[in-house]
Amino acid sequence: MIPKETELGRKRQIDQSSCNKDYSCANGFCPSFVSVIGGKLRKPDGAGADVDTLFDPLPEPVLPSLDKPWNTVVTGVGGTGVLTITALVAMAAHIEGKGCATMNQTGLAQKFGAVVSHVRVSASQDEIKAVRIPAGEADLLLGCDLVVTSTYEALGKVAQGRTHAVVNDAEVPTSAFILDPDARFPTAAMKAKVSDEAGDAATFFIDSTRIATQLLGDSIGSNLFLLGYAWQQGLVPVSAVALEEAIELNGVAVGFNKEAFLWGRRCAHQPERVLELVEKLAPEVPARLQGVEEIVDDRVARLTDYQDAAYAHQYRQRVERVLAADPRAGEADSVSVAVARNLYKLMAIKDEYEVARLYSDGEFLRKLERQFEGDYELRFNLAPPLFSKRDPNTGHLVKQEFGPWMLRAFGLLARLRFLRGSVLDVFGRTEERRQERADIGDYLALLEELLPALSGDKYAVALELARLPGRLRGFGHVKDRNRELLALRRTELLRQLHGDPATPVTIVNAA
Amino acid sequence: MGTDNSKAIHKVSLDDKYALDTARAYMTGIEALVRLPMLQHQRDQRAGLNTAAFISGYRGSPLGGVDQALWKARPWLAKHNVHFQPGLNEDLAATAVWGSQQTNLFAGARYDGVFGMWYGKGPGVDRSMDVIKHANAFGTSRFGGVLAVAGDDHACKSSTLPHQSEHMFIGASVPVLSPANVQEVLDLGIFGWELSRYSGCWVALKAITENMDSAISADIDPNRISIVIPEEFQLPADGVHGRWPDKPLEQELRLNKYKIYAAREFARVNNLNRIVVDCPNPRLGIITTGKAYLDVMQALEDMGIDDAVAAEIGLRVYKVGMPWPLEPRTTHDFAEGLEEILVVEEKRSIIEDQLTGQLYNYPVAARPRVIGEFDEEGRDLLPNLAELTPAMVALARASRVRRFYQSETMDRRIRCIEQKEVSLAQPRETIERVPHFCSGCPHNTSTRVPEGSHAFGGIGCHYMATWMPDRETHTFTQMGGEGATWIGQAPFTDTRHIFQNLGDGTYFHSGLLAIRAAVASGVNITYKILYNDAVAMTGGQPIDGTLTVADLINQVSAERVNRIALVSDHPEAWRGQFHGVAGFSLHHRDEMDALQRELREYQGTSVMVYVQTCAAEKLRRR
Repeated sequence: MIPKETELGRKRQIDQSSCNKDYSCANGFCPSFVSVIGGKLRKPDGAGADVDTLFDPLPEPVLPSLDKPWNTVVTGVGGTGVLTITALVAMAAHIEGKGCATMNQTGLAQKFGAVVSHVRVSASQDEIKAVRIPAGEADLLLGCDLVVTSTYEALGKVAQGRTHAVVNDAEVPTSAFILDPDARFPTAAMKAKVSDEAGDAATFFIDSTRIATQLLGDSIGSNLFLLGYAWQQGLVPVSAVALEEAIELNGVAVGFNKEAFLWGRRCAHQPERVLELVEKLAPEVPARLQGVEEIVDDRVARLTDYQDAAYAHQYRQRVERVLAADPRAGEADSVSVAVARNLYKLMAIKDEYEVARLYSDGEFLRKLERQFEGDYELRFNLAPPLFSKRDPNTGHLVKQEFGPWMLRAFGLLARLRFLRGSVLDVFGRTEERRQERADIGDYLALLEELLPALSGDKYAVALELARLPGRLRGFGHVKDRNRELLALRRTELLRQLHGDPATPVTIVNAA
Repeated sequence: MGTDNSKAIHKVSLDDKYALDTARAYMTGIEALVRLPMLQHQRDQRAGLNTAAFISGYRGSPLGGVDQALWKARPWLAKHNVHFQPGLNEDLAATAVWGSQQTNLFAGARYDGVFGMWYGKGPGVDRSMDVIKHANAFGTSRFGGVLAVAGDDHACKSSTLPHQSEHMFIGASVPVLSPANVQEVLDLGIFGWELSRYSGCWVALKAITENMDSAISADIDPNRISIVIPEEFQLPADGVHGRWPDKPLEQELRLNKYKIYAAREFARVNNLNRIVVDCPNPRLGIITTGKAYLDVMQALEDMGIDDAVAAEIGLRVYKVGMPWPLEPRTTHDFAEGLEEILVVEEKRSIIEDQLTGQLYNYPVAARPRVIGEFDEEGRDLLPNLAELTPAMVALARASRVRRFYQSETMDRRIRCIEQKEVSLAQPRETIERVPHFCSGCPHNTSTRVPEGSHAFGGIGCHYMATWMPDRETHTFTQMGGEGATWIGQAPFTDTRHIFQNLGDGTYFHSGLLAIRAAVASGVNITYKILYNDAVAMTGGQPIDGTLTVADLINQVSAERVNRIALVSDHPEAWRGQFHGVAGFSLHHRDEMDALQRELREYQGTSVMVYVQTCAAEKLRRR
């Protein structure tokens, strides 16, 4: 499960290339788990056959001189073939009768840990003394992973004026992202650290994960793509012929690897053409809306589809009320922006109607068609509160699998959403729904309390209060647990807002 | 950018490293260990000897892939009479290697001699000391010999302790060879067997991460090494080799009076320790060994100290191939006339203590100062922690030389190192890529613990649960000790019960005995035996023998564990199979939480067998 950034904040998606078919994720208490039975992952058709004509013939770069050993540090994520890169370069050097030495620092890394690998190539074997590259003596830092590239292990080998850094700046989540939904990926800080050490002129960043995934159909090709990208710039001390010979000797996914290497070379030679092609295949996820007016307009449109224009209008009025009292409304991280996003989140309760609408609005099936091919059948893993069994021990609702007929039921249910909140709304009476409606009321009451503080010095406290619903995640028992945690934080913030000094805890002297 | 240096393409095959006729092959340190017995067998054949080799040991980083490399090389091993029998664990493997040296004591031996190779990670050396001491005292066979390959993880990259095995081998009077790189793993490996045959001792070959996880284009010509057998040294009339019957005090006499000194003499006449950098009037010496030697040479190169500058500052470098026992005569020749000797070795001292001992009786005026871990004022110089780097050696060397020699290259190098340390020390917002269970790994579910309970970790991939915030899994034990720490805590704490994670590989290796101890002690403990049908941590090798789920359940039941729960993602596969087993129950993995709440109330030892194939292994098999 990896994070997926969307306009409505960070959601989750399954990383199909690393899934090992354990399927216990389907027990996750969320209605979005759909099993695609019988389908196959649609391999992006890459660039198709005609692409060869799109690129000029590739020039042969001048290889680096070997009057002293050429040192390459390769970093990457364990289990993604990082060691293969150093082994291929070393084998190619051996094939050319040159001296070569590799050194791998892996540890438990084959489970998505950090891998740093050194490869030294020289004119003859005895010119290589230490197998490990000394501090500040790397000629090429091939950073297949930004996180590992920004560590001491890698940057300790870099020296400005000598090292060229070719780094994949894709945001590849770490294990921290599994448990912490708000884990941050400090891309800018890490990229700055690398360019500070190697110097901006000698540092090249490229999102090889995204390009390889689109052009080759699997992110596993990104490391070899990066090698091709560096090779074409004359930064790898072995010939392409020897490297391809090494790929054949390695005997694993020979065609795929050669193609990944070729695409890396093309991208170095004609970057704009390659990036154009990738943009066509998979447009970059647009950044989130920043201005409060754009956000409000977007959310009004969504609420109109969710329920109706009247409901959407209520939302607009509430936000504009805060906007009027907010001196910093124009800024990106203002209370107004927070209210625009969070009031929408509370009002668009993901009840049975909304789940049905999202599944049956046609966009869901189009997205599925883009990801899978073949004649597949859908199964929905749901735990509808009205008629689901409860686990005898934990009391939590138990998820069940519903067949493809459910999609038609969703279509019908979506059309009944006008019943939402009316006397005929059979889903509105559950405890969970009553609590979710109460959440809206509480938030609106909170906003009233915040209005006077917007012009005072407690703006920051008001902002965090306005943002609290952002962390009210999940459904059923998961949402209840989050709600309790947020309630504690809310009381603490309200005390700060009203300026009560933290009341000293009186020590009750035990008998 | 530079001259065109793409040379002619040589026809290369991956089999070169094992085929007979090639002279040069690209190989890792681990593949060098696999090639070694073939090289030795080739040399024996040329000497008219009909020998065979016996290899046994247990996998563990940095020797994690030795068994897989041996299996891959099976066709070539067979041609050289090399028999590989993976050990159940390190000490039983060492016992088997000891046995190989007794083959020729009795009738029926089909070979002139069997030479043995034992391999094991640092903790493996530790748990096998009883065997190694007995086997070394007993002695090797005339045309056999034993090479004990010890995998030391100096920087603790993939271990529960940083490791250095020399002191253990010193305790057993086993000579230690320390290769600097993959080429020397091959060279010193051959010397090792010949030294073992000549001296009757086991010989240890240090295999550190730097050499095992690295690869070079190595020269594998068998005639590369020529062995010199000492003539002057007086061996005992009845020789130094194993015999039967034998008496322990006679073994001790042979070992302390002859075998160790024979080893030193062998090292002297074969130049295992030699001066590699010299000058007309030397005053500053460096004595170094193994990988540290490469750090020294790299540091000298980085500081621009070539032969000319070395002569100017009076530098002499002495490379030691056998750090224990340190051969005194060549060491004396090295120390002759020096003002100061810098000892460059990794971790705790092996050479420094022996050197100061050997220099003690020099007349004071002629006795060089010796510095290493500390300088003469006791300040840290080359710390005995983690690993050395060329940069650390350069700083130490420069600090001694700067008093009477100045050079632009040296100063620039020192500035570059110091500046690098400063720039990287600045706090920056970064995150860490911490390893985690693979997607779909059974441990993701099996290591979960119910509210209010906690678990102890152990050796295996599941060890990672000890740093996962949501797993309540704390502390660990040595491999095979899982659960025994609780025996020493239970009587003294209100905590009524703990869960203990135990991998099936570790169970088979030695963990079963810990369960027997737990039953005997009567403490309340639930072993969660994680049956994933692979030794996943070191690359998914199969268990070293057969261990079906039925075997496991029946064995544990026979150990008087009267509550056994089988948990699986497909329980129907096991329906109705274990009727006769006392206290048996079958569960789907979704019932884990409820089952654990019941098991934690059970009096005494209970076992939960969590059955689901390792995800990485399933991927490989798909």
